[in-house]
Amino acid sequence: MKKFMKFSTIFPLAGLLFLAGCLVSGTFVIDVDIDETDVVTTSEFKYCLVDLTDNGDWEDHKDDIKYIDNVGFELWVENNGDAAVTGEFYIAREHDAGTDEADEVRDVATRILSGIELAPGDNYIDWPTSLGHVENLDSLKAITETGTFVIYGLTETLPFDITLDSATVIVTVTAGN
Amino acid sequence: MKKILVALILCLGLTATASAAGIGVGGYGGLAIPVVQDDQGNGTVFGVKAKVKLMPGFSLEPNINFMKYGDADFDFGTRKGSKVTFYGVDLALGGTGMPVGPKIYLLGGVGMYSITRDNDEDKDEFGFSAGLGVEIGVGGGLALDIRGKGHVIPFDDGSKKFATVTGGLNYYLGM
Repeated sequence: MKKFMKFSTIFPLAGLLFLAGCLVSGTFVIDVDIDETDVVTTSEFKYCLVDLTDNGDWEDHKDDIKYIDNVGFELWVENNGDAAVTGEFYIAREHDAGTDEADEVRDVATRILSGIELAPGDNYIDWPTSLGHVENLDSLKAITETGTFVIYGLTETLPFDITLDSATVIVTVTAGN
Repeated sequence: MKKILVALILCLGLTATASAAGIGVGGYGGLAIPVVQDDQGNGTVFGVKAKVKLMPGFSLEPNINFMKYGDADFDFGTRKGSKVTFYGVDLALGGTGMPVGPKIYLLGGVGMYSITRDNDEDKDEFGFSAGLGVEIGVGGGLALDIRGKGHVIPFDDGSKKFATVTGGLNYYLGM
């Protein structure tokens, strides 16, 4: 009986201590604007360097990241054409000088987003919508963890005419000691 | 669904094996508060539990809970909160099945947490909880029950944490 009483007293107290100890970790949402936007293009692909290491939140947590929860995007991209444009994104650790053609990108990079369609006049793809189109999540997370990477935007819908006003990469990470 | 059935059977089994004077049932609802989770908002939780008195001052509480986090708003968009269904057993140390009046108790528990969210992988993870409550007997076998609990769901070297603050009503059989 004494043992049971002792255990019963310690159990909730140990739980409280455990909870307190775990409070040093948490889940953080980091958003990074992609440079080199404000582009008008009729090219079938464009690439942008994403550098999370310049971001203060990333700097705060990069050394104790436990895992990447997800990666999404917010895009302000206007379809100036008369037909719908279908886009896909690829990711690579760095831009390979050899990948200057869309087919080469498809060969060497990893597709992370597909199936996004932009109707004529549409100009916005929101974060939750982008999450619904993400694929190859394990590769995406692994490359994102490096902090710097290249994203390629490609389309098979030619010809087309879009204006890329701004783009943001949104990374949700769980970090802590 | 299988897990929910197992939890209910566990509740019924424990209830059936205890003496009538030491059995209670309760329902409750309240707030769910994410702890250091930027991607979740404050939400709601409700649940039901059985209370099985082991000896004076000690009781087991099999329980099942349904929680929904609130939306998380950012400059760049809003994400809908996760749904969490969790069931388990708490050990309560302190007042339970008492006569009229308040009594404070400590809680510690373990459980299984099922987390779902649009566009995220579903997760079923083992977790822990601990907390503090006060039960106020109002006579006729009824008691108001107010409690706060912290929950930790560890996985992949990290963890998800939240707190619940609930109020509810317990009914003790044979009192």
